Amino acid sequence: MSEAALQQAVSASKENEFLSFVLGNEHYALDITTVKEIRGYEQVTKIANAPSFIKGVINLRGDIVPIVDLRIKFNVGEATYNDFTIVIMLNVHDRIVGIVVDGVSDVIRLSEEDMLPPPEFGVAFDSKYLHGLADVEEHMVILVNIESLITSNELGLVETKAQVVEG
Amino acid sequence: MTIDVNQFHGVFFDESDEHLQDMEQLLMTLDVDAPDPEELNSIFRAAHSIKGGSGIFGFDALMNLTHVMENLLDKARNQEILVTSDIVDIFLQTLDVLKDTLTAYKEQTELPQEQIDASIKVLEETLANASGQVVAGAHDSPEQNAEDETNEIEGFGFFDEEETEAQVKSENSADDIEGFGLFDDEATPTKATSDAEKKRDTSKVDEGFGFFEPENLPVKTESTQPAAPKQPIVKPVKTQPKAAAKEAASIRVDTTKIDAMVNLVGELVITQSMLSNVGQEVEGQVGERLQLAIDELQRNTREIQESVMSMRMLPVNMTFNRFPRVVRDLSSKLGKKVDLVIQGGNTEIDKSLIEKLVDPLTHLVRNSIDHGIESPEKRLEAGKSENGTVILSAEQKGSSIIIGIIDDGAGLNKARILEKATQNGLAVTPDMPDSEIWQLIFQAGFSTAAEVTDVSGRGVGMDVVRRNIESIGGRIEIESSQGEGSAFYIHLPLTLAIVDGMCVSVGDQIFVIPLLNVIESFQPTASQVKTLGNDKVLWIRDQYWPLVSLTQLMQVDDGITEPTKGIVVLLESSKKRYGVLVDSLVGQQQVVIKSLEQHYKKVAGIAGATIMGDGKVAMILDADSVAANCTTIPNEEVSL
Repeated sequence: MSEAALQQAVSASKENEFLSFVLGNEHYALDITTVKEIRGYEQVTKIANAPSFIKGVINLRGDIVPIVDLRIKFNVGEATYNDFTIVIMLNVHDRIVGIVVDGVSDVIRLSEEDMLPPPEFGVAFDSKYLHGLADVEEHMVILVNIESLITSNELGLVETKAQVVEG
Repeated sequence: MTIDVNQFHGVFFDESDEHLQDMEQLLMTLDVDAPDPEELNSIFRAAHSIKGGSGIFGFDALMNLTHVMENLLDKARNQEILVTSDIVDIFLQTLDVLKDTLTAYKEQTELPQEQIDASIKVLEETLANASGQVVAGAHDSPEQNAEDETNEIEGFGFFDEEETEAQVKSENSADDIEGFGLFDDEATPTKATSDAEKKRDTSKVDEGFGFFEPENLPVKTESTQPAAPKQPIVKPVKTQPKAAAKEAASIRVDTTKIDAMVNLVGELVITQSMLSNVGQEVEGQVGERLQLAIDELQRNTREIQESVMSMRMLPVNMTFNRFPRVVRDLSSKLGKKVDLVIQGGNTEIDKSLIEKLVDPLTHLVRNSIDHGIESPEKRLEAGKSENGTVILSAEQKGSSIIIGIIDDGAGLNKARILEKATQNGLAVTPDMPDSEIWQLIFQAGFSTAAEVTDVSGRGVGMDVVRRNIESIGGRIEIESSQGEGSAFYIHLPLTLAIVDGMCVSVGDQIFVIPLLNVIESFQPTASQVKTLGNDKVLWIRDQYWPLVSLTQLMQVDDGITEPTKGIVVLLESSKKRYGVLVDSLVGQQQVVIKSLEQHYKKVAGIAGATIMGDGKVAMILDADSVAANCTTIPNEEVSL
């Protein structure tokens, strides 16, 4: 993907802010405008017949919100839950979804030039869910296209909506 | 500046619907021998408001029709013509056409032009006959049109003060005040101008709106002033306070706002119960004081909850009120004499239910009159009074509303239903209990009417009725006795937002089973549990019941799977009766239904979720969908 998506991601302003987080040993980042809040992991209510990476639902001030563990989905790191496990609450297309991550590190500012095209392999995420890569303080940060990931059929979080068409 | 006039269409349609309903009601109650001038006035005002609004929005067909209707009404209220029951009939027919026209505009479908023209013709003829005058035609003379338009415009506060004063003299202007509701307080003068400018596309209104141009203002004054002295000045003064009082009595609020409020209050209830959990842990004097405060909070939250819920509630009369008309039309068409009695019309019910009740109720009432009530001759033969009675009743019982449609007609014909069922290939025996026989009429394609009329008899109705009612979480019961009449009872939940539930625990999870579906719960003995292939069935109440293990169905870890160790809750869904196996009962409570689909998707067997007192999420079972999941053979076939 996709020059177009990359363009789209950065066209709003020269510099975009990303929230970086850790899954296993890898550093990822997602567009901060999709983040609703960050909270600790709490006990979920399981949903019958859901895939294992959908942990269940929680009560987010009256909204029943599903919690997805990306570590299970993409087989990175270990899916352990302790007091330090973090859930990033995302607001994508008027839906709220929580994703479980090992930790949240920083808010980073990236301009278009900082972004490198994503590799075809070697990353847990399919490249169609990625904006690209960036080098931040000696780390490689993988920029996730969280909107296309959350609405993808692969996660199966959304019933009727077709997958968001790239570009 | 561009303003989308369409944003006001919704309000206009709503208001016009209300006006039409009001007119219908008033016409139905109008005493033909001694018509109340005030009532005729109200009918006139309603017609006039629709005309005004449709003029503003360029709904010409609607405006033309209401205009002629208004002329006739005007004559009637000034006692220039005598209102006869024929004229009332004509008005009622016109109302039907108006409704269709309004719907056509609303849904942007083709206008029922033929009916409109026919209606206008009938009205004009009536007008000509009654008053002996030749009526010019549906289209206004330019002058008249101008007068109307300027009257509407006055509502925007657009004209100078002296201009308005001149207007008040015109009798119509006061009536038009109702039309202001269309624009609420948003109707700033500037907006009105642009609205008006937009309007200019619609050719017919053109002349009227020409007056908006400042240089044309004097012309307008000239054109209206001759019309002004026509009516006494007293009249508008009389009607004005009434309109004002009406507006103060209620406000129009978007239901989504109220829903948001209901949600928030639900949250408040949860927070309050969390607080009281914490409060119990505090000891000593502080603890006592805290407890007092929490008790107070609890009372207040409950009151807030009740009053918020009541905002969504409307009297059942909103639905019932249309039936005097239905009964009148139908009985005269069928040559039957029917009295309609409405009981408990003030019973309140959730707004969303009211709308969905209309179709099934109409169907049932029509059925009662068509099939239930006999012709006057037959009634006299059977030793009954000539007039049949249909009772529409509503009452609240606990957390459900029971709506009854009761007639004193012939009752359901058991022999014919059984015959028809055999014809349709249904397995029936004559010694089936009555209640089961009556349920047969809800099968698709089942009509026992001897002949198909345009009223009923096609057999498409009753299954739709049942489906409609089930879709709003209700069920329908029939009582009937041959020769004495039949009664249909619709049981409905009080509201769709809150459900009375039985909380059960399975493993470490809590599930809520709607109380409406629960028959009983008990701990089964080993002798009651039988094995049928891989499935377990229960023998109780002289019947075999399929048994569903919630632990397995909901994939809960550590739940009980051995029936004798857990509790079985017997459930009744619309399709099947079955038992579900749970670990234990936790208690009964009202829960607020939350959508799972809002942020996730539909889950089989689950109707929604709710938030328990400790802030945790619990799933609400959907008895119907669980029934579809239970693979065991249904009870009928199990019986040996």
